[in-house]
Amino acid sequence: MIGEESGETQVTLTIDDRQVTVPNGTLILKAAEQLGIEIPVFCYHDKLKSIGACRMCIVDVEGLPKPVPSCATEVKEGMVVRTRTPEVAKMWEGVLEFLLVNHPLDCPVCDRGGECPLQDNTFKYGPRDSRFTGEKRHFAKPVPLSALVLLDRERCIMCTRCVRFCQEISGDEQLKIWDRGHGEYIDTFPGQTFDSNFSGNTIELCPVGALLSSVFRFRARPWEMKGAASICPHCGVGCNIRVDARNNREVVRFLSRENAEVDDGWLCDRGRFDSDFPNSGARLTKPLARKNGELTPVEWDEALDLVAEGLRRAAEAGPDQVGGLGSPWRTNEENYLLQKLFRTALGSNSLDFTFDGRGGGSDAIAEAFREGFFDGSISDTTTANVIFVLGSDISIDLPVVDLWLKKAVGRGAKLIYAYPTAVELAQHSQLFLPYAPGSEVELIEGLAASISAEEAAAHTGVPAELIAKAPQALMDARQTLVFVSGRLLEDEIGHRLLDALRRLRRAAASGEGQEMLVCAVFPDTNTQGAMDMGLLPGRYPGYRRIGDELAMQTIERTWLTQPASAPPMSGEQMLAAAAEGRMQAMYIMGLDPVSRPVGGEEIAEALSKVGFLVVADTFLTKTAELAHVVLPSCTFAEKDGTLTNTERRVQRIRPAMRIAGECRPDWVILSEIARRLGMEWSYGKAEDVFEEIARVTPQYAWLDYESIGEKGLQWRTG
Amino acid sequence: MIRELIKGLGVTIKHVFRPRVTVQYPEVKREMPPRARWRHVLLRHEDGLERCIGCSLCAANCPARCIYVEAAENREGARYSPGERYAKIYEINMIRCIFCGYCQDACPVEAIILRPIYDISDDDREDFIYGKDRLIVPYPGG
Ligand code: SF4
Ligand code: SF4
Ligand code: SF4
Ligand code: SF4
Ligand code: FES
Repeated sequence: MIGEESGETQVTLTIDDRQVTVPNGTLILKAAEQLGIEIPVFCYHDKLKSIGACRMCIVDVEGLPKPVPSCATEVKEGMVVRTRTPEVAKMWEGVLEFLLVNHPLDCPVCDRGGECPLQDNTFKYGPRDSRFTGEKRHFAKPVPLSALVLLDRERCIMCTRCVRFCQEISGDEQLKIWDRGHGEYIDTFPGQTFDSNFSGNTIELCPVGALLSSVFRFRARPWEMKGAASICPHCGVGCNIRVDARNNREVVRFLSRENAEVDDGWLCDRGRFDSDFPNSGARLTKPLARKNGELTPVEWDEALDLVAEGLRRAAEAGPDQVGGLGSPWRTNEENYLLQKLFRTALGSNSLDFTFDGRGGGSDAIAEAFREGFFDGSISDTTTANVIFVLGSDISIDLPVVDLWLKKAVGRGAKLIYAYPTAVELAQHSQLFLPYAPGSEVELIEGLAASISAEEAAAHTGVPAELIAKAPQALMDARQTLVFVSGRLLEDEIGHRLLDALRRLRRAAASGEGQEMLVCAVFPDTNTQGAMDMGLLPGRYPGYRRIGDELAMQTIERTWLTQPASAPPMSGEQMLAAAAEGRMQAMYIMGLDPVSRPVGGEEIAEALSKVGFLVVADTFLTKTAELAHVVLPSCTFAEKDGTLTNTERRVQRIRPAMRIAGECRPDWVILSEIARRLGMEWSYGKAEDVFEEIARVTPQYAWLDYESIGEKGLQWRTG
Repeated sequence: MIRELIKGLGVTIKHVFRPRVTVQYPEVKREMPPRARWRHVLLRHEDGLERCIGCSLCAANCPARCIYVEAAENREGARYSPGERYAKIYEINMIRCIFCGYCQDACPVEAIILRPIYDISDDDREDFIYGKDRLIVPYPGG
């Protein structure tokens, strides 16, 4: 904010006969807020620049001839402000009466009705009646700005929050004010649609029901909804959302639930508008078992007995013939129980959450997590002097981080963007390095100046003069923040890439007070958590090596059985074994590898050779269609749990609506299977599982549901 | 003793010749006072479009929580009400209703009113959930 720079000098002023001391440069509006004095606003928003357009917030200041907008006037020493005089009340009434001149009486049919600042302010400060008898403005209702965002111009009060969002926050500049005076209106440029990745935020910013979501429109009135504090299930950022469900029956919308360290109060459109899937009529609602070749609905008991029996038999044939696949879209609790089931009841260490090849990198990355190599956070973008992105199209991989990066650039941070093609964010960077894929290591060597710019250029195809610019920027930076693609780290070059990054860190953090922070980019929701929970070949929870005596002892103390020490198979190896008919049983939870655009058919063929295939999922996916038993799981909107985002922040999801059909959360399903396999698990709720996670996972040792709370906490090593 | 018997019988005989207070329901139905409030109807505009705009304000105001509304958008070729929005589903559970008329008070477009229609009987509880089919007045002219 404006006040921060000159924060040392304090100013004392009087508002409504009460004194308050605030930093110099504070707005009257914010000073009043500190005293708990409410001043109505429309155009002002904490995240946008003040423009003083709507005049709703005018107040009296002693000694000034005219009232001033409190959202655009800074405090002064000894200022005397009045907000509750008859004159101010009359002015507020007047402003509202003018705003309502052209505002239709749409409240009963308006999505905002019931949670509308214009309604609320009119109710509190407005006139009882309108003296306007003429014809109101008319526009077509509503105009689609895009497939997702609709605009009802009759309701618009021209606060321009939406326009300013597009200028100041998303930088897309897609909305604009057209015309002047009484005829002005909001629109996109002629012939263009409002296709910004962040368009949905304007709906939430709009102080009236002018901007509307086509997904939510007419779905519910505010009093019919109850919101659950949850996490967006669509990517690794883990933006905080409120999941609103109507009458506890259907999820109708996601709203932002600002977390100043994760999402800064914004959501991307993928996250915001993909809210309907828990309500789908196509959901699996009953267990299915293959009878005479057909998947047939059965009762839970029968299905679970079949699963337990099938897994037990297969495990007896040999622990190298059973394997489990968890999911980056399931909670930590569920991924944890999956590996526990395999490592106790079935004696197998063959666990993963993907069939993709892991190259050589996964072990290096696990080791790096264990030693705490990754220490960067999304919110470090607010302090870093240089931000270096390697190999990730952030706008797609972690959409909301795109906004953080633009904000950082706006504040003067240097953005160095290394990506094979000129993605959108590259245009905002000071230095764009389009390297040849596969030459990442040489690129970093070049940046660290451990090889010459010319040599790096020869490998990467990036002009030497561009590479040569980087080392100085890194040397000069007090704080450097690196976002490196997790996919690259897992690749063949993973080991060397990590080593190169270590060298870069030594170079960029060589001076006094210098540091370089690194954050891995995992686009999927809970990839980080799945790895943390030990769904990596060769690693127990917390990245401890299989066979590590100390790890096995601590785990045994909690599990009361020794964890399996059988040689592990990765997803890729399991798939190869399946293709050769060597997998007796597989349990796949919340993953649909068969539907992948490439390689799906080979996977299907391999899976059809698995002796006994169990799939637990929310829909009858192509993978589930191959299974012998299909178990219906709950979506994220029907259960408790935690997810760990790409910056290692553990956050909670909470149930928003009643469970669909006979579905069960995966942690319940896994507990039931374990019980049938003779395990004595007694988890009454997801929180019980998390307590156990904290006991066996060193990074999570200091976490519990209470401390995670509403805002989440990052795990840490040691 | 005899005197009392005769006196009692006298009362009976007197009432035999008085006008009857009961009627032969359901063959005969009694006229209700004009402002009697029984079962609701959903009204139409003169042009036949439904008045209800699916705003759920009646449901919000109902102390018995017996109204369920689901709204949808009027579209080209499928217009039910004049504005953008209409009630796709409108249900009242007549067993729960206490006929207080608060729904009528809340309605911003005078779509729902309580009418002197008192014969609300059925033999299945489910059948007391009145949908639009039974609540809405007939389209003018059939
Ligand atoms: S559409 Fe909404 S946010 Fe945009 S100017 Fe109009 S009232 Fe303000
Ligand atoms: S950035 Fe990711 S977590 Fe945030 S709203 Fe978009 S999809 Fe969801
Ligand atoms: S009459 Fe009263 S109880 Fe009955 S539906 Fe209306 S508001 Fe509810
Ligand atoms: S009957 Fe009236 S109050 Fe009820 S939904 Fe329809 S328009 Fe709204
Ligand atoms: S809120 Fe201050 S002028 Fe609009």
